Amino acid sequence: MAGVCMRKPVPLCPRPTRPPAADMAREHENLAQSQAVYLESALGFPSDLVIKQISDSICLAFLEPIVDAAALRESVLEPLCRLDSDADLDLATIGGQLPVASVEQGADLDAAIEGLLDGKVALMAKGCEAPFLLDLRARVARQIAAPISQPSVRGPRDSFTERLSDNLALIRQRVRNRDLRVWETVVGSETRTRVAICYIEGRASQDVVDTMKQRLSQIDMPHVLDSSDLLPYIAMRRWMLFPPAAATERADRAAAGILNGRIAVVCDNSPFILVIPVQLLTLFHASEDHYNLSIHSVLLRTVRAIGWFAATIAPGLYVGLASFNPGILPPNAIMTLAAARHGVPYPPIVEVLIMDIALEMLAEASARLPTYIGGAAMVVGGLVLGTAAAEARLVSTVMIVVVAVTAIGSFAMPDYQNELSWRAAKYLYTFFAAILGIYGLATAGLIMLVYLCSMDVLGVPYLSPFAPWRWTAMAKDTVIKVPAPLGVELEKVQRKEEAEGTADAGTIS
Amino acid sequence: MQEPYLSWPEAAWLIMQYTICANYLFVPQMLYLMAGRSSWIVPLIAVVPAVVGSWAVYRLHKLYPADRLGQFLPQIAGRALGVVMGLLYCLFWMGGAAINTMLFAHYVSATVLGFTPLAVHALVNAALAVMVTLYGLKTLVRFTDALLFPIGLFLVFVWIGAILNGRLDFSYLRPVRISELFKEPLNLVMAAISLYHGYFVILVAGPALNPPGRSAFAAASIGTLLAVPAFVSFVSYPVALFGWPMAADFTYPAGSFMEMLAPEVPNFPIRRFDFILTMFFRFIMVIASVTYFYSAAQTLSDLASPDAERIHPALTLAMGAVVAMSYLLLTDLHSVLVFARVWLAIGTVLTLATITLAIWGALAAARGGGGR
Repeated sequence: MAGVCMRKPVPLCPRPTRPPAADMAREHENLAQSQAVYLESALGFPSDLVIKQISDSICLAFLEPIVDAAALRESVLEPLCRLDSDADLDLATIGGQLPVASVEQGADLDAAIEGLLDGKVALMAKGCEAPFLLDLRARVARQIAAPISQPSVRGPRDSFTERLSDNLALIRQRVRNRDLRVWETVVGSETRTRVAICYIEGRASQDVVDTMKQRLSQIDMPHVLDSSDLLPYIAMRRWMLFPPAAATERADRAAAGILNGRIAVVCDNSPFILVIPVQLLTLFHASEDHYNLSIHSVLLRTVRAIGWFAATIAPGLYVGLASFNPGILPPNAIMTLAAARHGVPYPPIVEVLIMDIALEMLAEASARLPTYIGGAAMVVGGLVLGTAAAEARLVSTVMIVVVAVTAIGSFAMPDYQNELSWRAAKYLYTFFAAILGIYGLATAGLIMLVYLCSMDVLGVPYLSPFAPWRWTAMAKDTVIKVPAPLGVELEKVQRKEEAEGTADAGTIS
Repeated sequence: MQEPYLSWPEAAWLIMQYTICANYLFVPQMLYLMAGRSSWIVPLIAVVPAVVGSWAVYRLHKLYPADRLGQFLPQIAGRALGVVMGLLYCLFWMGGAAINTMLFAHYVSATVLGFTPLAVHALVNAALAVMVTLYGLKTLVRFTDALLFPIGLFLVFVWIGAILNGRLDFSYLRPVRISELFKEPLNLVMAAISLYHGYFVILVAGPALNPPGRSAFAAASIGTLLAVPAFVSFVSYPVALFGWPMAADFTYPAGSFMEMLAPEVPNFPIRRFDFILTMFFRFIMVIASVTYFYSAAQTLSDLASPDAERIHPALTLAMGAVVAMSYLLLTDLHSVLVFARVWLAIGTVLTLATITLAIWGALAAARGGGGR
């Protein structure tokens, strides 16, 4: 397994050398002013940096776009104007006089710069070596809306946003457990992105929690713009075919994960929360499964399984049957297949590649186009391309059906990352079918199985509860989702097994 | 060392699959040659040495619960003898991997993929074994676990379905003549002693057992006993269906179980479903060839560097190349069967050696000079 290189966090990008405080004091009579000049020069005199002189001894600095202007006026400017300008300011005085959420004294001017970039207001006062930092952050964020990528017929409609505090609120509203823990860190030397993990102490495996904290603390990466950037560092694998975490924008799904002993990784600026560790089977479960009757859930999961099978196997099966093993079909089906392929100048593998690549292009195009055009483009592209290709005898009509089944099957998978993984795996099946027929399909299946068996996410087997066997988890919520009362009983058994070390944490979805 | 992760039911399932392996393809024919119609008795007789062998690996595991074969052999037998014995085990396991690989390659070539060169089959199977070995024992165990669901159902279907459809006439199995068992007594004894050798895997996977100790005996004995119905059915069903001596004329007597399972209706597409059967057989064969290969690679690696945490990739690749190249020697079924006889002889020697080692180790431990 290829590990991801972790190093200790490095300092921020090059910055001006800070002159000793004594030198600055000599240059400027007022220490507050000299600190303000330093901040300005360190940030490169940006146009949105505001330096506001309140009095001879007090000076404020802040980045205007990311500071709450109303709060600044009411909670800082007005109270400061009422203060005695000659009074010595300390942390207790400021904390008592200014009604802001958080006041701290930075360790040095570098800490003040980081605070400014974080949206804090730096308050520099006479006689103070380092500025005070007032938390008046303002965020540009959208309102909470219905999930776009994971819609459901039943279930709650709220989804995560780009604001970390909103996302934590959505989780806390659902998990009102005194053991819910939230641990936060900052990653990305240039983006300084806040990342929080949420878990229930005593339910999530402590080993998994410790490993997660350690890996997040060791991330050495300049840019963290989305939660997906964290995945290789959390999973400690550079190359992964399958997602090690379930990325969800549904608050109910994240909460369910936490309640089941998993960890939710909330990344600022990302509406997708990572639920980790995850098993492959969980990626085939939809939130709705928990809102429907058990029988209905079984039906829907079976349909999804068939869809997955079709999406992965269908092209390879076509190649295998048409190229190697037509004999396993009934005679009429052989005739139909032969008639459909009559006049097609390519071997089946070329047919499959042409149509598969066309399908991938259509899917990619429809994802990039605006919603109201995307659907139409998909239909028109599919119909025109398919019909024209069949009429021109570039591909057989059976191939059109195969491609359609593949597309529908892949779209039936509820997790997008998982769908992409199996879309990629499909080519392995097709390749092996092209060299060994149906027997090759079985071989490709074994290769995929070995790969999946080798995967661990934070020490939890990816194919659990099927490999290794975890019978309680298997009985509770795999293909069959047992009714809630029975599920509660099975969950108790599983908690006991986890405590005894005979089950993996978080194998219940 | 990693935390133990192998429960005894998982180990038993691994041993069962490892024991069955591709033996279903050649053991029936080999036993028919040795013992004729009465050959179905042999898998039952072979249970006795298998239970003794299971006890032997349990004793060795109990003496060295944290060590694998390549690590504890030099401690029992001394460095030189330990290495020689270890190499003999490696030879046996590599032979098992090669037999499984090539036997199945010939079978597939004869049944469904006649135009594909044998080298391709050998290469694909060897590559799979190398892949699993590089990932390690944990992956092998999970891989075997995952295959429980298709293989388990399939085996139950084969055993019970064939009986229920009423086409088997078990009177063909009678009479059992003791004289038939003495046609080739030495070969038959060797076959009986080494027929169930799946419990050898404990010698390599023992440190992963959770809990260690008695679970080794439970896994070894139950895994072996679970394999008995498979062997008895593979040997006896063809005779019960086709009669004697017709069953002995088939190249792969147990290779077409669908003949037994197919309903008696016109135009039932036997060949169509035989294909599916081949896929299931493949799953079993893969577990065996991979386990043989892993055992050989791990033991050789342990002999070379006992403290290494992982099997060396270059060594694994080189051994994989050897298995893939075996198609040059095992060119047809006859050559595989000839080699299998030699291989069974090595297996017999190793079974007896394992029992001797266990007794030796137990005595040394009693004197306070061995074990950990």
